[in-house]
Amino acid sequence: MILFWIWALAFDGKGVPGTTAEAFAALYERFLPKVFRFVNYRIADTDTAENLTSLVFEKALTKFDTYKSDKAAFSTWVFSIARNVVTDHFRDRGKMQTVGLKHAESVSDGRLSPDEHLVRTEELQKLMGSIASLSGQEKDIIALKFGGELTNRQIARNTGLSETNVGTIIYRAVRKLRSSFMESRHG
Amino acid sequence: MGKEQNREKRFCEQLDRLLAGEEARPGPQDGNEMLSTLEFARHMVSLRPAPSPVFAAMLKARLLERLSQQEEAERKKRQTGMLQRLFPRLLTWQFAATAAMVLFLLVGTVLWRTGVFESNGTGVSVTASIAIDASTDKVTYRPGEVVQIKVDLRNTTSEPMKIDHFPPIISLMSDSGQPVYTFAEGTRTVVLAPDGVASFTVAWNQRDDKGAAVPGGRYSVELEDLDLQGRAIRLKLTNPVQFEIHPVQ
Repeated sequence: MILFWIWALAFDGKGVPGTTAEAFAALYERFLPKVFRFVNYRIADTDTAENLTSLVFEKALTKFDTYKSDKAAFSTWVFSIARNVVTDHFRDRGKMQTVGLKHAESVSDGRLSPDEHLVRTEELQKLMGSIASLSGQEKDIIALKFGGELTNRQIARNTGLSETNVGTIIYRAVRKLRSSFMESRHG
Repeated sequence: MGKEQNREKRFCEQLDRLLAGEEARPGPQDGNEMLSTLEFARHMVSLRPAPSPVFAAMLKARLLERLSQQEEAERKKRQTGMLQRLFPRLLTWQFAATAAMVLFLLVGTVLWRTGVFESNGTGVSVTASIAIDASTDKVTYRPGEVVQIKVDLRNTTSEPMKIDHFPPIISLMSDSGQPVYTFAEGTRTVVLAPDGVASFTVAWNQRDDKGAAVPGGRYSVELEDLDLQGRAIRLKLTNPVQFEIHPVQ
């Protein structure tokens, strides 16, 4: 377990903290926002996104024996788990939907006024509604890019697509989102 | 590389800059469409959702606890291996170890029956050792959603343990430390073998003792005294079990 976390940190180019718990805490702080955002882009219901994010990290802890650092960076590996968790969720639910019971909310960091926070939350919900209109593949790639902050190369490795194809999908999807978002803003 | 592919590549390069917290640097060859798409991408980056601090803290605590349990299990496995290396599997060693164990049990039983271990102000007081592991099925709940709480009690001594009134009293506590709902103790008597585990699950419908729905917020689980062979033993979870109920919207 100690080796796992230290390898993961070293492989991702960060310094290695002292204890296992410190190493884990550093990885957790670094990847939790990205994993949560990826899941939340795919599943707009915040409660479900939180529960699935928990499941991703629990599986990562359980599966560390199967992680091979020479085969994939830790970020690629953990998002492979995240994609499987989301896929399993949709299969179990029997439907592909991204708009759920509790819509995505903007978490206030205290720098915004209540009005600004409300506007931001509404904009986020409009954006989530626009994302729902994308194809499954586009949603997946947008979530990996904007949520997981993966490079196109990492996304290509994760999805089996070419790097060029990933770039094309991202560009076209963002253009589609822009049109859809503007329509919902003025609609 | 075609013109379109060039544009897509440049867009992705600028997007990577935005995601890294830097400013985009469109070039003179980038037209209005590219600029407006980049501007929208910047807006998307600024709107990205974030996990709530409460959820992040609770999940971290739960994962660290699990990590600690796994490390403890690995440490015990290593110790067992070390003991096996120190005491090779020779018949003589096995016989000596068995004889020592039998002697220890006999002496311990005799002393126990004579009441040496009962506290009388001058003798030795022995506290029964019970490891308690509790968890909820989720970290966050919607209002009205049933909270499943699972508790495992493990006998960590080398003797059987008789627990009267099983399961023990379990209380749901508010963030201010006040009990909001209490599950009454059970009526069963349970005998736990050495290293045996007794489990129980309770389902809380988010109502307080008066039947009213509780408000959103953080809640925790506490166990009350356990009736152990006629003695009341204070139970304490070594790691807090906490969860959050989202407020009604």
